[in-house]
Order: sequence, then C-alpha cells, then structure tokens
Amino acid sequence: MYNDIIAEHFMNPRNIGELEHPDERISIGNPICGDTIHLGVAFKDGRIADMKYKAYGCATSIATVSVFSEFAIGKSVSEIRKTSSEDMEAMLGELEPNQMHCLDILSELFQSLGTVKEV
Amino acid sequence: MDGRYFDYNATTPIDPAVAAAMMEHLSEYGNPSSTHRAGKTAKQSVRQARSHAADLLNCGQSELIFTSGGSESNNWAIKGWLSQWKGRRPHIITSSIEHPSVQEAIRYAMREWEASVTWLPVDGDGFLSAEAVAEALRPETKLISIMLANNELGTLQPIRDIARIARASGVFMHTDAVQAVGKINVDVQELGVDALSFSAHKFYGPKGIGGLYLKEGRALEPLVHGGGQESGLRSGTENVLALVGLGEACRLAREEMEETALRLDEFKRLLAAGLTALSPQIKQNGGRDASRTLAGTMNIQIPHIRGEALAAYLDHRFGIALSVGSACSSNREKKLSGVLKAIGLQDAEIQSSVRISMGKYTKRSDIVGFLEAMEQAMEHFCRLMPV
Ligand SMILES: Cc1ncc(COP(=O)(O)O)c(C=O)c1O
Repeated sequence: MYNDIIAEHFMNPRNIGELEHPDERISIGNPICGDTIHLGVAFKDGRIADMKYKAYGCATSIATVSVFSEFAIGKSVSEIRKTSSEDMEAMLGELEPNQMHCLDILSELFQSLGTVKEV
Repeated sequence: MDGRYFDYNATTPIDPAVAAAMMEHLSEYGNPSSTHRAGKTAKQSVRQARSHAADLLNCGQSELIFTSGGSESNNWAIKGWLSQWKGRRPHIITSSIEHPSVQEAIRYAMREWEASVTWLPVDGDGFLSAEAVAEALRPETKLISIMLANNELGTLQPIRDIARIARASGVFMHTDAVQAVGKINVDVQELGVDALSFSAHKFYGPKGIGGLYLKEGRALEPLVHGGGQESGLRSGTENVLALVGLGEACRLAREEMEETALRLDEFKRLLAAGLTALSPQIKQNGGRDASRTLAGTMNIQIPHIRGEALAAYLDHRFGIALSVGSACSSNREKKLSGVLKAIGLQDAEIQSSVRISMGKYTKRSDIVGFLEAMEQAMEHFCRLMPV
C-alpha cells in the first residue's frame, strides 16, 4: 500500500513538465527497476527558482520526485546540501520494503542537486 | 456488486445465494463424525456439498476429498503421490507457468526426495503441446502435473491429450484446475486425469475451502494425518459452514457458467477494441484464441507506463482493482511474473503489464467505465512521460 504522502503526490504530482531554459539538467536512472527521472532546474538570486521534471517509474518513485521538487523550490543549494538523511526519510513517510529504493532515488536527487555549482 | 472490480482471478465476490446458504447454517454446530442428531445434520450438509461438487465435476462422490483450497490440493496431489518414491529419483513433468503452490511443492520433492523435473516451456502465446509431454517421458517418470487454466493469461492447456499420453504410459496425471472449475465445463471423465484441484473462492464461494478429485482406485499418502475424516485421506473436523458455501457455489456454477462465459467473451472483445482505440500500442499478452482461453481473463501491456503505477492510479482515482505483472522489491532485484517471462516477454514489457479479469457480476457498463478511466489514466501518465 501507499502512505498518504506518496498517494497524494503520486495522484497529483507537482511541477511536472520541462523548463525551456534550465540552468542545470539532472538525470537519474535505476538500471535494475528502470525508474527514470529527467529534471530541469532554474536558479535565481542563489536560490532554486523553478524545477520541472518528467518521470517514468513506479508510483512511489513518481511521488518521490514530486515531493523533492516541492521541497527544493525556493531553497539554496547549500540548504539542499545540508538536508540530513533523517529529514529525507521523513519527507516520504513510512515506506514498505519494496518502496525503499525510492529513498535511494531521493538521496540521489539531493546529492545531484547539492553538487551543482550555484549560478 | 462492485463494477470496478477487475480482479476475479485473484478471488471472486461471494454470491448472495452462497452467503444466504451459509447464513442459514451458521448456527449448525454439530460434528459430522458424531452419531447424535446434531452430528447427523452436519453430516447431511457435508454430503449435500459433496453431491453438488461431484455433479459439477462429473465424478463419483467418493472420488472427492475436501481440503482447505487450491494450494493444499496441489501440495497434496504432488507430495502425496511422490512420497512413495522417496530417494528413488522420481521424474516429474510439469510446465514453466504453474502456480507457486505446484512449483514449490515440486521443488520440495526435488530437495527432499531427489526428484528430477522437466519444466516444459510454453510458446509465446502461453500454450504447451501434448507432444512435448510425450517427448519428455522417461521410464522413471512418476508424475505429470500441468495446469488446466493459467491464472495470469487464461490460457487452457490440452489436458485431455496429455492425460491420454499419461494413461498410455501408466503415469499419474494431476491438473491444477483452480482457475477453470466454475468458469468452463470441467468434466473429469472427459479429461481422464487421475487428480484435479479446485478452490471455491475462485467461483463465488468462500475462501479456505476446495478439494481434490482423486480417481477411484488411486491412493495418496495423506498430508494431514489424524482422525480419519474424508475416508482417512484428509483428517480434521470438516469445515461444514464453508462446505455449505462450496456446495451452493458448485450448484450455481452448473446453472450459470455457460451463459457467463458467453457474456464475458463479448466483453473481452469490447475491451480489446476499446483499448486499441485508446492506443494502438497496447498489446495483449498470451493467446487470443477464444476456444483456448478463459473468457474473463485479459493480460495487456501498455508501453511506457509502469503496470504497478497504472494500477495504483486506477485504484486511487476510480476504485478500479487490477493485478500487475511485476512489483518493485528492492534496488538490486526486481520481482517479475514468471509466467510472462515464460512466454518470452522482456523485463520492460512485463513491468508495463496488467491483468484484467472479469466475472459474472461484470456488466457492459463496467467495461465502458473502465475504458473511460483508462483514457484518463493514460493522459495522466502521458504528461509525466519523458520523451
Ligand atoms: C492456478 C491456481 N492454482 C492454485 C491457486 C491457489 O488456490 P487457493 O487460493 O485456494 O489456495 C490459485 C489461486 O491463486 C490459482 O490461481
């Protein structure tokens, strides 16, 4: 089953789409389960001004990138970098064992965004 | 009945007549083995159930042994027959698309009794040929176990021909007919098998009750030893209440299944046409030959959409219930349907597959509703899709 956070984001994913002129592009793929995420990021005044993505994957992985985008928009890269793994875990709520791989996806999203050089 | 339920192969709703019959017997508490009046009443209920089930399968009442359902029947037929060749390397012929309760019972025989196994492949449509069974026969072959109807694809195997081959070489033949009984005519005389498993919850009866047809003159080592119920073959005080339900379900199946199958056959065509209209990319998995598949079962793949995600969306938005061909398990491994692998599908194809299974309460308007929901779901996923 899907917890309320996952179900809500999966049914109504935020920030879907493609940025016309992203400052950064991030692509994440899990070769085993085939989840794929393409993310575009736009910066303004040292902060993440906008973020859009396209995703193919299981319900939980789609919800994961939606949760991530909602969290990241408005933050600075150093705030992204400082996010603890406990905070990340809390963002997705309680996961079932077969959904745990989405925590890896989330931390990979944080890591990828945390290592871009700020514009 | 809920018109958004498309998972009849997983289990079926209880028929109101079955529920009523069970309700009527709810306070009947006698033990069928007792000789007093309470016991007799219970015994009569069991007898009645056996009579209805025997009518449905066209067998003698003494050839029917009740069990806790399909899994137990499958386990028992396999272990109960093979145990006499413990350690003497009996050979088994089975298919690569059996239900886990057959596969795992066979693996147990491999581990514990040094059985060797031929897992016969199926073709791209999910069928195996009787000739392949004949070719796999060895002098030490002691058991053939091949399912009648497959739960994921609905494909029907040529059990009659296979049983003929088994008889000709004196090999015990078991068939898992759990997905067939109550949906199509299953006549054990016509099939000519030695043993056949069935389960009431797949045809509008209660869960946890089923049986094994065991041909007159054949004997199995019991799985459950004890007080000698079911002619000493399956001990334990009978589940009288569930048997009342099973009996009623068998009685209803005889009356209704032919007409239901005709209707579902038409619905399946409606569904196929509607899905193709939605997207010509949607493909049907497994055979489509109506004479060799269950009318109510359809397995499809929707390219570029994860079956699990589609099913979750349909469930949350529309309350539609489907079953999927794969589930995430972890980062390092995926859990893919062995049946879909056996028909040669690629991992990505299996991940985008879902099973739609209909039953006697499915209405034409439900098919229309399903197609409308599918259209919205596809729009939802198209917005998300990376190009
Ligand atoms: C083909 C097949 N065999 C056996 C079973 C097991 O039956 P039961 O649920 O009664 O144990 C099932 C049900 O899932 C089935 O589909």
